[in-house]
Amino acid sequence: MKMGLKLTAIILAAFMLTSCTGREDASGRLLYIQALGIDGSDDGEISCTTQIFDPVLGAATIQEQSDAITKVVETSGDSITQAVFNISEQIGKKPYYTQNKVIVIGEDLAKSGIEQYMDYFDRDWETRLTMPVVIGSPNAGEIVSASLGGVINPAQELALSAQSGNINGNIPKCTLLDVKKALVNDYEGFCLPVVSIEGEDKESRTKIEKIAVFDGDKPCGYITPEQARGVMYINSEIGSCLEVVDVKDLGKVSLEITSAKSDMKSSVEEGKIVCRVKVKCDAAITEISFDGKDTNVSNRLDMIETALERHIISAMQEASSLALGVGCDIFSINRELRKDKTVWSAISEDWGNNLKNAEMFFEVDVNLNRIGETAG
Amino acid sequence: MQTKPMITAGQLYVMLFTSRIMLTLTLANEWQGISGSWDYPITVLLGFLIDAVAVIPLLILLKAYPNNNILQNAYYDAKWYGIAVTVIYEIYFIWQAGRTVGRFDIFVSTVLSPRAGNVYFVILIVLAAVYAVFMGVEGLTRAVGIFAVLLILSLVAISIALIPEFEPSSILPVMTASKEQYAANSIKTAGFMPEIAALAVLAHRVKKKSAGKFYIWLGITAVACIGIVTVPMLVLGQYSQQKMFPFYIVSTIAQFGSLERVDAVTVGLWALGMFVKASLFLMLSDVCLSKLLGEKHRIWYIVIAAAAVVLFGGMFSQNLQLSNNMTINIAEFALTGVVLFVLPLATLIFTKVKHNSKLKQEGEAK
Repeated sequence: MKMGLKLTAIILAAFMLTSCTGREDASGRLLYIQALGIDGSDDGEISCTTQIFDPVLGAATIQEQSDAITKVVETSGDSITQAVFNISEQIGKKPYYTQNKVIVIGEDLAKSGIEQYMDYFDRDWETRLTMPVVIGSPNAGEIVSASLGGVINPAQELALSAQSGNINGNIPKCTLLDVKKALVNDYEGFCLPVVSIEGEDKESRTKIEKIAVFDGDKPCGYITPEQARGVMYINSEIGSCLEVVDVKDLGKVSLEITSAKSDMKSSVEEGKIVCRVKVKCDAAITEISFDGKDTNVSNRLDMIETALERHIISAMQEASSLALGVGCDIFSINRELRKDKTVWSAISEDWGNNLKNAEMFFEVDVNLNRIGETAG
Repeated sequence: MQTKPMITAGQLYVMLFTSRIMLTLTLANEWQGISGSWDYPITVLLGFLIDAVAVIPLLILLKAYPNNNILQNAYYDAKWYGIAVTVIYEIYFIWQAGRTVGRFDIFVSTVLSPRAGNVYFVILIVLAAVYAVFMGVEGLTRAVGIFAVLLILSLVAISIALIPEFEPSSILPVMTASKEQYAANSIKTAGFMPEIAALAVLAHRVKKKSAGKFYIWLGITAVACIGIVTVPMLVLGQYSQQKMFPFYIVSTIAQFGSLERVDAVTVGLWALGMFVKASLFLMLSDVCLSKLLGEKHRIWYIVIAAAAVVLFGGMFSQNLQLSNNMTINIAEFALTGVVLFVLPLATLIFTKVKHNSKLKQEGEAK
């Protein structure tokens, strides 16, 4: 009896768990979506541009590879799902989507509100919340189909650009998770980089000239990547970045921020929202122009720290005035205020206008812990 | 029926712990409604506190008659009562096993691939569970012991990997939920405790008294369950409300250095956990059926019980409307209340009364 049961289990497993599906057949040819772009069209259809990795296009080794290993497929449908399903009309199967590296939303579509298009990414079992989301300008199709200087995997380049904020401090976090978390909170905004393409064909490259600030699911304004750094300081998103400050008698001092953590306290004082942000930074000197009269760095460390503190405060002030000016909470100010039900019920009704009148105060403490390999 | 003690209290509680943890891991958030606020873990705690009170009659019964399980005590009270109690427990265990495999099927077809979920999956799990039942309670508890260690290590590792993603401020503050939501969620959580029924039926197989350690087990399990519901909230914030399987979703975010796709570990855990749960409840069903019908055709009873589990599991996994049917949910809740509280209380009273009258009769005879 036991042997019979074992045999039955093995036979059933062998026949039912073959791993063969419509997408992974016996020929073993797997196709992976690398970039997914969505645009709207005048007739109300959704246009979907996908960059698909096809292993058949690749050489045996990466060194031998000269052409792109991805191809671009354009489809359309009444919904994103239908447009994605229609890919099979061109390539014979539905490619895997879990390996997708970046989601691009067309600028016009974004202006009409992105929430309705987010449901696909919520329900689809292949979506990973770590996928970066960017806005494609003028449209997503152009971004996804760009060859980006003839690199072998343009989607990879695009994804790296979108996530470069962790290194350069210019692009706030923009994963699907960040977008979804902000969208479920009626009082919170978020930022998405707007990507455009510069040059043509082999000369083309990605360019992020502005960051869209979303209030609800629509952009309410734009900031530059430099201004976005202030947002990142306030939101504790800086992994590393470079700051250049003018220091009296030394000239231009380049400093690498190696760590930056912020602490924000929000309250309501005399009917006005007040936020106090404290930022602690570790920085290292990477270069000094020495165009001043002094060459002694050790005596000027305090001055460098003060200059950097002022510089960071100024970046945060600029960012906060831009965001608060349009009544958008990209700093998650609402979260602490919600803890006090009485306060929250008083200010939440006219949240946008209350934010416009809000005041933010900044305090920065820089610890210059490395001066480089040059002594003195 | 073989009543020789075979496992230690520790082994029993490890098995029950694993079973309860799996329930929390697979529980669809839509049931809770208030996940995304700090109220959610509080209601889980309240649910456990309700269980701590509800279990008192059973613990008194097990302490008073440590060598008997609830079925033996019921048969001692009166044969008709014993049969009735055994039938009710049998239905409950088959139901729970069916729900378990049905839930797993929904999980697989929701997060892995819609085409992966079908009745074959349910059949395969039940077949594996049947095999485990034939191996006996000792074999199962030994296997569960190893699995429990893997489970705990994996959960801790995934939680640690997620620490950089923690954002406590994105969770709504306490008392965001209404009093009705508080009550509903606490009672629901209290009802998700078939392990108390398992304790009632398996107690006679334990070498030493098992009742005394129950509250230690309950405390540890409560802490683990609260941890499991809190970790996804810390990562997803309010957004966790929108996800069917929040722990799985956050495991897709977790990574160890360059190692991504940790969710594969979670899927493996889920498959093992479902096997443990299905095996446990089929084994409990076997205990009930053997008590009810004798051990002569035990193999066939197990096969028939397994077929019933496949039927229930397939029914629930293939028909979401049935899973969400209010009448069925109320009936399930009522049945849970009966097996966790009403029957142990009634059996305790009957047994005490009968025992005292027997002592009195013996005294008069002397």
